[in-house]
Amino acid sequence: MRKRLIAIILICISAILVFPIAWKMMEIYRASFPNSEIKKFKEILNSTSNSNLNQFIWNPKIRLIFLNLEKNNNWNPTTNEALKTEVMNIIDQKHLKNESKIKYELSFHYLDSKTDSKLDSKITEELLNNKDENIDDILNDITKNYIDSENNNSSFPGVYTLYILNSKSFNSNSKTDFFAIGKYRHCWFYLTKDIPQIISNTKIFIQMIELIFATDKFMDIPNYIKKSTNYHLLFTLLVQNTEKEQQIKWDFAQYKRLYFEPILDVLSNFADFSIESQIKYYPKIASNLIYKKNEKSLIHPNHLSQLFKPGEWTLETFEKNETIISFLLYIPDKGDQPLSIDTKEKVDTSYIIPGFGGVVFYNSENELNELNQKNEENQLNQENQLNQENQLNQLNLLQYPLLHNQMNLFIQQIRILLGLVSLENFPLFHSSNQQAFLFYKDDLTFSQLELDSFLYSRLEYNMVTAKESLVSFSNVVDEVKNMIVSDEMTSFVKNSLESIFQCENQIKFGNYFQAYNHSKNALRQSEKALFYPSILSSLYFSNENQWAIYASYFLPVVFMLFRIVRSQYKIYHQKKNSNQSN
Amino acid sequence: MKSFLLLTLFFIFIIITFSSSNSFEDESYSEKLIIQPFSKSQILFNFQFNFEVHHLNKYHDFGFFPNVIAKLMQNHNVFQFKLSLTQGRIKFEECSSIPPITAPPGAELYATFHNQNLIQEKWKFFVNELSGIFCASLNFMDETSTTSIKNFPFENFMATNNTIRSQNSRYSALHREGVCTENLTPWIKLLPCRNVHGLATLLNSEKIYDVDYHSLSVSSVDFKEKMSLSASLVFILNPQKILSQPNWSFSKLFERKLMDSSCSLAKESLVELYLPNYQSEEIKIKPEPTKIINDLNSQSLYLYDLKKSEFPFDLSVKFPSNSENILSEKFPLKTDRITKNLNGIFGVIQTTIENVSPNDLKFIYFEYLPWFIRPFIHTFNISFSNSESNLNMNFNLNLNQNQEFFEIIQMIPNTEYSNPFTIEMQINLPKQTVVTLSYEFEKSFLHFTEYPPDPNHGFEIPSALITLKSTEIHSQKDQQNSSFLFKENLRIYTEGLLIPLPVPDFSMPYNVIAISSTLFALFFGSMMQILFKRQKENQNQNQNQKENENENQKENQNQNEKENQNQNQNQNQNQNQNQKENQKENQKENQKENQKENQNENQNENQNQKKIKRKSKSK
Repeated sequence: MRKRLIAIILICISAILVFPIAWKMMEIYRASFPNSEIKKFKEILNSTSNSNLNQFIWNPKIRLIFLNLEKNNNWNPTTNEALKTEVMNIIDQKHLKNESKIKYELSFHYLDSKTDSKLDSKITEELLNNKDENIDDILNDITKNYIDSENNNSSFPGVYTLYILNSKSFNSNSKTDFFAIGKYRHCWFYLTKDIPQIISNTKIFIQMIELIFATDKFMDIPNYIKKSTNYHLLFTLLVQNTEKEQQIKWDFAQYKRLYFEPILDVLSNFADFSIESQIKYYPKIASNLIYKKNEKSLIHPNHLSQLFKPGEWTLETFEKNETIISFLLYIPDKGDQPLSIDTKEKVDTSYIIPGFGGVVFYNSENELNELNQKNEENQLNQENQLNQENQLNQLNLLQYPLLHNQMNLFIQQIRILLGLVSLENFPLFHSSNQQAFLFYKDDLTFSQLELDSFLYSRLEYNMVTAKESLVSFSNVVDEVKNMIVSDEMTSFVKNSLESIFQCENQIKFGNYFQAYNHSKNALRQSEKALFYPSILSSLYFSNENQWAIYASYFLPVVFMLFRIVRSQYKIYHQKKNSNQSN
Repeated sequence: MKSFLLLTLFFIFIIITFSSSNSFEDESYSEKLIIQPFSKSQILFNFQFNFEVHHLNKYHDFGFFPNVIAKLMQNHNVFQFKLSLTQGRIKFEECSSIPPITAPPGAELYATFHNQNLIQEKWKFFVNELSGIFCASLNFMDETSTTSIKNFPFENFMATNNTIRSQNSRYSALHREGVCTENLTPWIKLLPCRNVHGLATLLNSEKIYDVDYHSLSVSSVDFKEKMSLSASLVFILNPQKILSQPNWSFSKLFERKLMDSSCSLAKESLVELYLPNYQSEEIKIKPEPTKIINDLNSQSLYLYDLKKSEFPFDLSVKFPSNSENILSEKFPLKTDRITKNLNGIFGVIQTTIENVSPNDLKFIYFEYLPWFIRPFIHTFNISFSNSESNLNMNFNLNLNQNQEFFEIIQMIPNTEYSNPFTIEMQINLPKQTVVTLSYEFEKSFLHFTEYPPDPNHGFEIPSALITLKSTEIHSQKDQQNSSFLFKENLRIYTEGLLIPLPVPDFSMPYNVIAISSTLFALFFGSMMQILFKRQKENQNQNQNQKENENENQKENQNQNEKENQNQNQNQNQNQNQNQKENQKENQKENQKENQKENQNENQNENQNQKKIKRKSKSK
C-alpha cells in the first residue's frame, strides 16, 4: 500500500514538473505579425458570396465639352438646364446600379473660337477641313493645352472626355453620323440631331466608362497565363529540316525592335518584361501526327505538345521567379507544307496553348512558289536571276518584312495571353442600336482606353490576390502550430499591408498609376511571405507524424495507468461502503 | 520633291537593314572527328564540336549557339569553365601518342570568374545549374571539396593565358561519379544538328559506353564581345576486343554510318585519320580521302571533307595480316600513387614520378585532399634519386628555401568542414630521375550522418594532376635513339586513392533505442507490478479469504477423520509389524540353532574322518 502511494506520487510530480519544462523547451519561435488586419479580410471572404475583397471606390471624372467652331452660332447646350438634369439622372441611375462602387464626377465645358482666343486658327482650320485621320490628335492637343492646363488636371487614367462637335461647321459631304472612339482618353461625335442625340451618346459614353472599370463583368476572358508582375518572353524559331546548304535563320533583333519593343515599352508600366530568342533544329515529331485532308496537311491542337517538350529542349533555367511565355514559329518539313492546325471551328496557322504561349506556323514553300511563279511570268534575264537569288537568300534568312504577318499574329497572341482586351470586342459596340462606331487605332499599339481597362483589371487582381495570399498565410500559420514564423516573413507581411493601405489611399485621390505600383509591391511581398522556403521544411514532420510515433510508445502506458486509477478508485469505494456497513 | 522623299526612304531602309545587328552572321559552328592510333592495339576517337559567336546582342538573341550555356555563364559571371565526365583512366606509360584531351576518372569541374565578389555563392549556384543541365550529381562539389588552382591548362580553342585570372578560379573533382547515357543525351542536345545529321549520328550510346575509356567534356570562354564553346567526346577502344580483328569501319564499330549529309549548319565538317607511315602503303582505306598529308611526325594524315564527300559515308580501314601499331614513341613520365602503412587512424600517401626520357622535364604537380584527411606537413618529404649519377637527395617542406629542384606555388592547409588541403608545386626533374613525394596523414572521425550508404567501401581521393611545362634536351643522339612524346600543358592524372575511414558502430542508435526502451519497459513494468499486479493479488486474496476459511474448516474436519483412520491403521500396522518382527526373530533363532547343529555335525564328521584316516594309516 505504501509503495503504491509512493509510486503514484512520483508519477504526479513528474507530470507536474517535467511536462511543462519539456513543452517550454520545444516551443517554436513565432514572430508577431498584424493578424488582426488580416482577419478583416478573412471576415469579408467568409461573409460575402462573391468574396469581393476590394472595398475601394472608383472615381472617374467625365467631361462633356461642346466645341463650337461656327462663327455665327452662339448656341451653348451646356447652359441648357434640362440637358444637365437629364445627364445627371443617367449618372444617378448608374450610382444606384453599381452600389456606390463607381462614383462619377461630371463637368460641362464650352469652347468657342470667338470667345476663347486661345484656340489656334490652325486647329480650327484643320477641324473645319475635317481630316478624319488628324481629328484624334487635334482633340488630344486641345485637351492637353487648353482644358487640362486650365483646370490643373492631367490626362491620367480616370479622366475621360466626350467632345461634342457642332456639325454645322463642317462640310456637308463628309460622313458625320458615327460615334468615334479615339486612341486617347476621349471620344467624340458630330451633333446632327440636337439634344436627344447628346443624351443617347452620353449614355453610350458612360456605359463604356463603366465597362472599362467593371473589369470582371464585361467579357469572359480566360486566364491563359498566370498573371504576374514579371514576364519573360521567349521566341523560338523551330525548323524541322534544313537542307544541304540551306540554313534557315532569322534576324530576330530587327523584328524585336520594330514590333515588340514599342509594345513592351508601353506595357512596362504594368510589369517587367524581358525578351529573348533562339533557334532550334530537328525537333522529334512523330510522322503519324500529321494527316492529309483536302490536299492540306493538318495537325490536331492536342498534338502540338510534341513540338515543345521542355524537357527535350532545356528551354529555360527557371532561376528567376517570373512567368515565362513561349512563342514558337514553326517551319514544317517541305513534304508537310502547307501545314495548318485543325480546330473544330476552323483551320488556322496559329494557336494559343494555355499555360505555355503561342504557336504560329510559317509555310515557307508558299513564298517560294509565289517567287517562282513571278519569275516564270517575267522573262528571266541576268538582273532578274540576281534578284531571285537575293530573294531566296532573304527567304532563308527570314529578314524583315518577310515575317510581318507572323509577328502581327504574335502581337495578337501577346494581347490575348496578357488579358488586354481590344475595345472592339466590347459587347456594347455590337448591340443593335444601329449606332455606327469608328475606332481610331494602330495595329501595333494600344489605345489609352485599352490600357486603362488593363490597368484597372490588374490593379484589382493584384489587390485581391495580395489579400488572399495574406489570408492564406494567416490560415497556414494558425493551422500549422509547429511552423516557425521568422522576422523576415513578418516584414513581408507588414510591407504588403502597408502597400495595400497606400494603394487604397491613392485610389481615393484618383492617382491610379501610383496605386498600381503599390498594388504590385503588395502582391510581390505577400507572395514572398506565402511562398517562403522554410514553410515546407516544417511541414515535413507534421503533428500527425509525431502523434503516430509517440502514440505507440505512450498509449499502452497511459491505458494501464488509467486502469490503475480506476481500480484504485474501486477499492477505495468498496472500503468506504464496507466501513459504512460496519 | 517626291523623288527626294523616295530617295530618303530608300536610304533609311538600307540603313535599317544593314544597321540591324545581324548577330547570326557572326556565329560559326564546326565539327571534326580525329582518329589516331593510341597504343599497340587501341585507337582513339575524338569528336570535337566547336561554336563561336561574335558581337552577341547582350546574350538575348541566339542562333544555334546554346543559349543555356551562354545564360549560365552570364548569370554567374563566369569567364571560362571546363566540365568533364570520364570513365576509365589513361595509362600514359603504355600509350604511344598524345591524347588531345585528358581528364581524371569521374567528374572534374574548373571555372574562373570575372571577379572575386561572392565567388563561393556563385560557384554553388553555377555547379547546381550545371548539374541539372547535364544530369550529373555535381551538387556534391560544395565548399568542402572545392579548392583553387593557379595553373590549369585550358584546351579550348580560344584559350588564353590563364595565370591572369587564377585567383578567381575554382576546381573540384568527384572521383566516384559515374557516367552513362543520361549525361550523353543533354550533351547531344547542345549540338544544332543533334544526332540527326553530321558526325553526331555516329554516337551510338550502346557502343560508346562499352569501350575501355570514354570522356565527355564541355568547355567555354566568354570574352564579353565573343564567346566560344567546345564540346568534345573522346573514347579509346580496341577493335581486336570488339570485333575480334584489327580491321574496322564505322558500321562495324558504331553500327551506324553517315547516311544523308553532313550538318548543313556547320562551317566545316572534317574527318582526320592518322596512321603510321610505315603501314600506310599496305593499309586499304575506303572511301578515298579528300587529301593525304605525309611526314607528320612519322604519321600520315588522311583528310575527309564531308561537305564534298558522297553519302552514305562509311569509313573503313583494312590492315594487312600480322600487323600491329608498333610506334616507337613513349611517354617521358611514369607515375604511381599509393597509400601505405594504413591503420585505423594514420597512413602515408606516396607519389612516385619517374622521368624515363633523356631530357630534363619541368612540370607542375597539383594535389588536393578532402578536409577529413589531415596531412602532417612536417612529415612532407621530397626525395630525388638517380641510379646513374648516384643522385640521392631528400628535402622537407620549407617555404623559405628556394630549391633548385622544386618550388612551392601554393599550399593551403585544410580546415575542418571547410576547405581541403591543397598543394601546388613546380618540379624540375632531371633525366632518368625518380622523385618521390610522401607525407603522413591522420584520418578524421566523421559524424555518423556524414558517411555514405556504403561506409566500409572507403572514401575516394581525387587524382593528382601533373602538367607538363617544358623539356630541356641534353643530347640529340639520345633524343633520336628513342623519341619521347611531349606537349606543353598536357595534363597527366595519377590514380585516385581509396582510403577507408574509421567507421562508427552504426548499430548504436538501435542499441540506444533498445536499451532506452528496455529501461522504459522495466520502469513501467515495475510500476505496473507495484500498482497493478500487487493490488490485484491483494484483491484476489481478500476475495479468496472467505472462501479459504470455509475451505479450511472443511479441511480440518477431513483431517481429523483422516487422523483417526490413520491412527487405527497405524495401530494395525504396528501389530502386524510386531508379529512380523517376532517371526523374524524366531526364524533367526531357528536359523542360528540349525547352523549350530550343522556345525556340530560337520565337526563330528570331520573327527570321524580323521579317525578313519588315522586308522587307515595305521593299517
